[in-house]
Amino acid sequence: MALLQEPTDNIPVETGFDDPVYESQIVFRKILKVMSEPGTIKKIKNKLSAPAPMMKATAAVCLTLMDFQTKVWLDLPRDSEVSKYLKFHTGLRIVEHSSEADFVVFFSAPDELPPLNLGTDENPETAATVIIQTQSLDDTKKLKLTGPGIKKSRFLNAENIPTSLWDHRGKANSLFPKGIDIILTSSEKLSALPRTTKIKMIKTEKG
Amino acid sequence: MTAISGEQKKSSRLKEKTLDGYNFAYLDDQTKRMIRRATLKAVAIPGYQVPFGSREMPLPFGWGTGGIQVTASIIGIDDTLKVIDQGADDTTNAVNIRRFFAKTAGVETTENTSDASIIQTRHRIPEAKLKSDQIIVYQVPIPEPLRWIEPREEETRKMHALTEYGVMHVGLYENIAHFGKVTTSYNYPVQVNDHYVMSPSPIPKFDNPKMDEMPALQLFGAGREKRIYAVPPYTKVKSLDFEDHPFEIESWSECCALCGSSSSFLDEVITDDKGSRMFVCSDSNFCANRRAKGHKGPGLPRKFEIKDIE
Repeated sequence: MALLQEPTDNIPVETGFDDPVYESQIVFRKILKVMSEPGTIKKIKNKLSAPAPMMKATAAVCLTLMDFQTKVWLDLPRDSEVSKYLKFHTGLRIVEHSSEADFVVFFSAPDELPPLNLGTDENPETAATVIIQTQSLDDTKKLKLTGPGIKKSRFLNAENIPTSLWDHRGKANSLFPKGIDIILTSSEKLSALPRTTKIKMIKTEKG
Repeated sequence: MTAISGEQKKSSRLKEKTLDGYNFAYLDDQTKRMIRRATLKAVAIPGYQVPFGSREMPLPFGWGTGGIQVTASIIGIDDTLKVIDQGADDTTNAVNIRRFFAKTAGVETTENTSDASIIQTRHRIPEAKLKSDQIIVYQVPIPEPLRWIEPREEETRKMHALTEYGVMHVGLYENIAHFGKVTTSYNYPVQVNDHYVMSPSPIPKFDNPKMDEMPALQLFGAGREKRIYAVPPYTKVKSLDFEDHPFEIESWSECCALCGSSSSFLDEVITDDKGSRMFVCSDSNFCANRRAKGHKGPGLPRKFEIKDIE
């Protein structure tokens, strides 16, 4: 009933999952796959629509993992179309400070990560999951990944993510078991870099 | 257009095949999301036990409620499920859990290890090598390997955080001092990715080497103790040991009485009250596949003889 009393401009025109139970399971399995085999890329095939600048894969991940129990910080204003969309479809709690959030979503990759919850040595699972939306995701040899979930090594290229962010991530993850787990999204694509994955930058001609 | 109609077909198949009045795969979606978030963190921190809000299931704790909750949260209509109990597909626990998911999730079930996309297991890893894209879900009674040594949760958490595992080696050392060898034969502790010491659930130590660099994802669910943990594919899993007492697995002088295999884990079956016995594969599917290919074992149990007890 409360929903009906909400002003109508809080109801987004963009649609979520058609069949949330069935579709969120499929999306979750893709997230599980990329999280357990870091650097692999999966494609989201659901036909949901999301308000700009939110891409399809980002929306699918948010709708699958977030609900009223999750605290979320977005790099967008609180009254943005995206927060309206997510609030309507998931009931998540948007927080003021990035350090309080369970999920932190970047619609444009920052140079450095803001203060984040890295968990504690005794409870490392409380650390934030960072979702970063990028221009493109492919297996060009830009980042060489090693660690659990990777047989020998795997390559990944996430466009428009500054080198400083990877350095920052490396520093945070040197505190293992504390650390941050990253989900990368780009249009319909999805990949992940859990805290255990080691990243080596491959030098190109440009340096 | 074809993609959309495909989706719709699946959606209607879902409604058709699942039990009326129940959620898909029994659990409500809110619970699944909570378990899914815990599972992702478990995967990101290999071997670490993530606490989760374990629900009451339609069977008592100790019957695989942890494994069932994990399976229910990951399973989809396109999955093929295999469930084993001590290696066998045809025991009460396995049959019932398989039927539970066939009813509530409408999934295909199989006894064939290589056909399954999800394998839920109680206390064994199948003999057939698991592949990439398969997920094995273990039912875990007691997830904390340090619990017998340190009863306080606060302390065991600190020990895990600091990789302070000396006491585990002391335990193994005492075993060697008493018996000349490590006598732990199941639930043999392992160290995952050089950090967390983890209980592999009560699988025989025979199965421990299979966990190392396994191409399949391994998920562990403990319902009563409310913990989920995981080992991603291709992750180092090392059984604790000493340089001069390296880890060893069991071996048998007999072979399987039915299929003649001398490389699988064997169960001893007492066949009468005069001490006759036979050894058979614990993995029923592995044994059946071998027999279908024409392999034969020595068959009937041998008669008990006085020299057997000498």
